[in-house]
Amino acid sequence: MNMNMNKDGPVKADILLVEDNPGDVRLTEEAFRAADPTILVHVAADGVEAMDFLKQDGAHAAAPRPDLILLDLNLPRMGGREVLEQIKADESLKIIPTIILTTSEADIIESYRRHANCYLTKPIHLDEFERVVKIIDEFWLKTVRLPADTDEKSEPQ
Amino acid sequence: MHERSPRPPRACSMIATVETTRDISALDRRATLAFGAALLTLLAIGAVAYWAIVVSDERERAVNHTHDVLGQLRQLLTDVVVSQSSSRGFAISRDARELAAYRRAIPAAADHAATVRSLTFDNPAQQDQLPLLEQLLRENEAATGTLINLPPETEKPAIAAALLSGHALDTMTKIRKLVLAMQDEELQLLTERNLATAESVDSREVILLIGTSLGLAVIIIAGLIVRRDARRRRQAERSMAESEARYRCVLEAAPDAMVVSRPSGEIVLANRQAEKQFGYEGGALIGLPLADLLAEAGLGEHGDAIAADADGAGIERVGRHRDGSEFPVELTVSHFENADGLLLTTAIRDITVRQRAERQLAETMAELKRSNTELGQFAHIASHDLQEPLRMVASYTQLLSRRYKGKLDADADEFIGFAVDGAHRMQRLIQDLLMYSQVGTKRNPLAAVSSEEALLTSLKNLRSAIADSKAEISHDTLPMVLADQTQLVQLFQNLIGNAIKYQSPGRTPQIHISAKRRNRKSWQFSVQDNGLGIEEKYYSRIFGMFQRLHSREQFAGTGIGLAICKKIVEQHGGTISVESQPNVGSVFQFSLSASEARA
Repeated sequence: MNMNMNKDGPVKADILLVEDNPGDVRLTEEAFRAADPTILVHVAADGVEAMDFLKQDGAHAAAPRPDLILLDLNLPRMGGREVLEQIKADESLKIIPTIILTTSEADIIESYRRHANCYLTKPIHLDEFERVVKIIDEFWLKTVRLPADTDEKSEPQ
Repeated sequence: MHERSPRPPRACSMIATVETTRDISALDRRATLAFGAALLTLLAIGAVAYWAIVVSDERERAVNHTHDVLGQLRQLLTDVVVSQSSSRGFAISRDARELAAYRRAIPAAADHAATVRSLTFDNPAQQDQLPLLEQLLRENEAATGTLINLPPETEKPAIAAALLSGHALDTMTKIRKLVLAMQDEELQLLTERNLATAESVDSREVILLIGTSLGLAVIIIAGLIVRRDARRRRQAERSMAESEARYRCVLEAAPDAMVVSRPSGEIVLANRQAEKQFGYEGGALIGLPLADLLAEAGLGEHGDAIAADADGAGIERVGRHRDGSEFPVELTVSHFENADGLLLTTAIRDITVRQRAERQLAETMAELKRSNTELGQFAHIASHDLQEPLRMVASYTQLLSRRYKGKLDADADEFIGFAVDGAHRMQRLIQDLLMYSQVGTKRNPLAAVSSEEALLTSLKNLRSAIADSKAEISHDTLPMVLADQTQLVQLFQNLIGNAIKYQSPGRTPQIHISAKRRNRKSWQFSVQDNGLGIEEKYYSRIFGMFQRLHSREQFAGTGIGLAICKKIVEQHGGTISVESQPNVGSVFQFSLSASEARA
């Protein structure tokens, strides 16, 4: 269990949101807060920062290992496809469910080919977007059994 | 169109020339025959005439011969008379002149007898007489010799006795009788000969006469024939000249270069346009190979200009001017046959201008296509990229209204309300625009799809609208069509969505979808409703972009839905139309290609 706290109490889940648009970041944070206040959303604004966070490099040395990664594809510096590739090439990181959350509809097959765990498009309307976030919470955080629940989480290799 | 099958040579104006040529050779043959006949007749006449002359010569010779014989006989008789009288004279007078005359007469008579013998060698009757004549001459010589040889001292009575013995006179009488007989014989022979030759000469004259008449007739006929033939020849030559002039005219008047060549490629005729087009003058093209007028790149594999059987039009090649410049040409080749054998007429059209125009057209088309594609892409990208910031605007105004409604003043609530509404409308507009541009850019190849399945999918997409309006939707069995499945779903969805939306308040929407065969290749679909209906003057307007018939307060919408329908149907090669009665309902009809053409 992660020992981070947010204002609503103990954190039950850490999510890494890789998203460069602050509007989307805030919207996603709001949506998750509405869905489940115990979820802590960490944000990386580009691919390089995302990899630093995951590898606990530099400024992110103290970063927690996320339970779930939400990855946008259009990112500055390092694109989402490359981030996905690096995650899935890393023995330790590849077991973290990685969800593509983007506006593009053109990269679905390419993303699954790179072992994305699922592919979602950002709905245009706020209600729809909130519904999608709720579904992610319901399914990925409350329904499925994640690798973090097992001993493997503490087992780096 | 390149037909390769061998074809009978075409009828053409040159045929007239060919026949004229044949006429002339026939004329020549007839004239030769006529002159030959005349010549033969004349030769025959000449032969007959020559023969007649020979015959007449022979006759003359025979007459002369007879006269010779008669003359000789007459002289012989004279000599005998002279010998008798001179012998008697000498016996009486002893005159030396008498003796001399006697001495001349005796051998002369013998000479004449010898001459007669030689002249009448071919006449046995005369020859038979000759020994007797010679005998008598010898007797005469003896009898007269007695008188001559009387001794000079002989007495007058003795001389008288000798003179009167009559022996010499008897001989004389016998000779005269014999000579007369021989003369008779000779005359008889002459008469016979004359008769014989006269007969043959008569028949020959007849022959000659007939022959001459015949010859004359033949010559006259031949002359007439030749005259007539000459007239015909003049006519034929005139008509040939006319036909050639006509052909020349056609050739010269032709707007294209025209070249007539042998299968070997040798040019035998070329019009001025050909000379002008290829830079030659004064018949310089005649005799050149046709291949000289074309660039090597365009020649056949054996270097020939045109395959011998390449009848046809629209053969595109590269022409070569005398100065070496090249230009595109189009050949139209046809074959015909005349007395000289197979000939090819090639019309050569300079298509530089046409090709330039075609190229320009192709370039313009490509440019248009490119700009259309760009426009489509632009619309797609623009609407897609517009959507992102708009999503922010819409989402945050919504968040604002949700979180702060009633916490600020009434104005704030109203302002936020307008912002949310505007953002939502713009989102719909952009979505519809995106869809409209996608109809043009995101096109799947047409495939055989079930229109019924497409309808069911669209009904599933509309299920909440159907449920809300309690619409009753029915349909016939729908056919397989050639379509893009996604677009077909969209088409049904837009039409049925409209039918549900534009409904009189309080009336249950009733919608029926049906299809009937329009022709061999296509189906006609109908979507019938009992809605508000459309006035006829708006029939075509409703399919335009952003065209709305109602206020936004009455019916929400972007005015793009039917434009999308029209674009989808037209993309499929069909048409869409509407028929309606206000307050009764509308029927939207569109056509789609059948997946299999029906016989």
